[in-house]
Amino acid sequence: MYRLNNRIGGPRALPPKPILAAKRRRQLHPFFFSMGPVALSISSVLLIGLMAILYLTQLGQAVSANQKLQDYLAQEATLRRQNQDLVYVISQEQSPEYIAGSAKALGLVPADPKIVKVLTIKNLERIRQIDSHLQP
Amino acid sequence: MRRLQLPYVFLEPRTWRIYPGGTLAAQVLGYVQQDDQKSNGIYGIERQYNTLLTGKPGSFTAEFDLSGNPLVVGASSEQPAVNGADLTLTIDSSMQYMTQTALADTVKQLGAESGTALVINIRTGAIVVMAGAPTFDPNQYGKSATLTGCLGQESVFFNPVVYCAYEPGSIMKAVTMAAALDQGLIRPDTTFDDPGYRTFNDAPMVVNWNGLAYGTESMTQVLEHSANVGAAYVAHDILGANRYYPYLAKFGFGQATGISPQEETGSYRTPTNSPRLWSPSDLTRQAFGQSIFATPLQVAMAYATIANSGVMMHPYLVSAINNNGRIVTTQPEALRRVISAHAATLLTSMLMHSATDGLAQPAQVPGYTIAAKTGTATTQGLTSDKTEASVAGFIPATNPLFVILVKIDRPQATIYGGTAAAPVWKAIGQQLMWYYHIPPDAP
Repeated sequence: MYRLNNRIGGPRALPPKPILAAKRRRQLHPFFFSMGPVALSISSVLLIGLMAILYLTQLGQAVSANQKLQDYLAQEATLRRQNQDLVYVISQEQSPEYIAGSAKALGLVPADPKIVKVLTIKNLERIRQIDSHLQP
Repeated sequence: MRRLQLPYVFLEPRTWRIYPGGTLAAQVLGYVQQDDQKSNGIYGIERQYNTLLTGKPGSFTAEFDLSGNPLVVGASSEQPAVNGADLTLTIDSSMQYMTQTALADTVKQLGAESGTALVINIRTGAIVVMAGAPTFDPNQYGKSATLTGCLGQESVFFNPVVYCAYEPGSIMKAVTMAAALDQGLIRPDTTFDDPGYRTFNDAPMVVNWNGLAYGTESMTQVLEHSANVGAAYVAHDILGANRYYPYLAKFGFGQATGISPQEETGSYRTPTNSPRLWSPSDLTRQAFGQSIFATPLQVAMAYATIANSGVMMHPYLVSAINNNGRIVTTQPEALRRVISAHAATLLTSMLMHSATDGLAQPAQVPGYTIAAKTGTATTQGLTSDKTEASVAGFIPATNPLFVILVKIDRPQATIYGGTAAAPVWKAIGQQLMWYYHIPPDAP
């Protein structure tokens, strides 16, 4: 039997379009639409409870993390202050005035220029380093 | 306070500028005036680099919980603080301390009003030491608010090396000789007759500081004797205003050195800048360092130029600026040639004679050659015993590394450069040689 759409090069017949409203109705009918009101309420309460637990858990974790972070920040600030104090102590103890004072306290006295002897060695040549050949 | 754990008492951390070195280089550093609102550098480096050193405060905005802790989950914004830059100075703290101590001791021993000492690295122009006495503690600057330095003319907070202009006295004779040597008008062995005084047809008579007549005197001996007559003769009869003043300008007198924005420039009369007031008397007096005002830095730079074969370097105090990782290093900069290398060599030998046979002998450092000149300046209107005693020179003279200038203002125990300032010069020179392990060069 010869059909019109069997013709080579002939136009194909289009499938019949579903009715749009029926299609939408099918899509808007998930399973819980078929649940009764009691079951639906229980499910909703359970779902809300679950979400609340999840939220509270997250919040708890965030608060705990925040607390930890604050502790770390406080610790950092303390260490920073301690570091500043130490930097101050170091710079104070490295100051020439402090060193001179400490040396004096130890009983040291400045070198007397009059007792320093200057020896002049004529024709002195620089001594080559023993390990000079090892240097690149 | 923290240990007491007082109830309802909280400690709030605040930034506060502290100076661990106390008085060390205080007049170079200046200080920061601190209050609750803002801190500002007032003098010295603190003022000059205030913007760089201050940095930028940060901010933190957040929602807080009941305990006052910022919420991580809440909305927050943070603007981090930007640290101020770190400045590295050319000052050597050990040498600075030694010089400051020696200077303060000398000022006290001699009953002087104030004093200044300066050390410059000849090859680079870097300032190694800048000291003044009296000085102050920047940690307690309020206690020194009424103290004055620079012969009572300036607050003690000002750096006298840069802000205190004075009449340098006989130290300037080296500059007069430099001008004549460079133009080939004299040689070290050029002679003239020195009867102890000299009259000029257009200027008042000039006499030697000690009234002595030296007879036939070479230019080298003029420096050895520190003869005013010889210096005035060279400036007036040999050089003249037209050939003398360009050299004062080339040596940087009357001009800012560029080391500090508000530095004192000093002044002197010339036929150009004071046509009505200038007279040949100014020329004859300027030849030996009177009637001219210069800062210790300007004088030291003139000597550094002679020591550096006639090339003037740019003096500098900050060797590096580290602005949060961006490091800018100061490179030594040659400003200009002032005199020829030959003239510089001749003048160095003349100054070496001044140190071995002249008035600068007390400045000699065992084992090392030095080239130095003394200065004992008086001020018009004051008695002749109120002097500014100074010594300027360089060490080692055969291979110059450091210029040292020491100035003692109005010493009472002894009033001359050779006796008041030279011992400090020697102490600084000796310490420099030891500290930097410079081998002795004296024959």
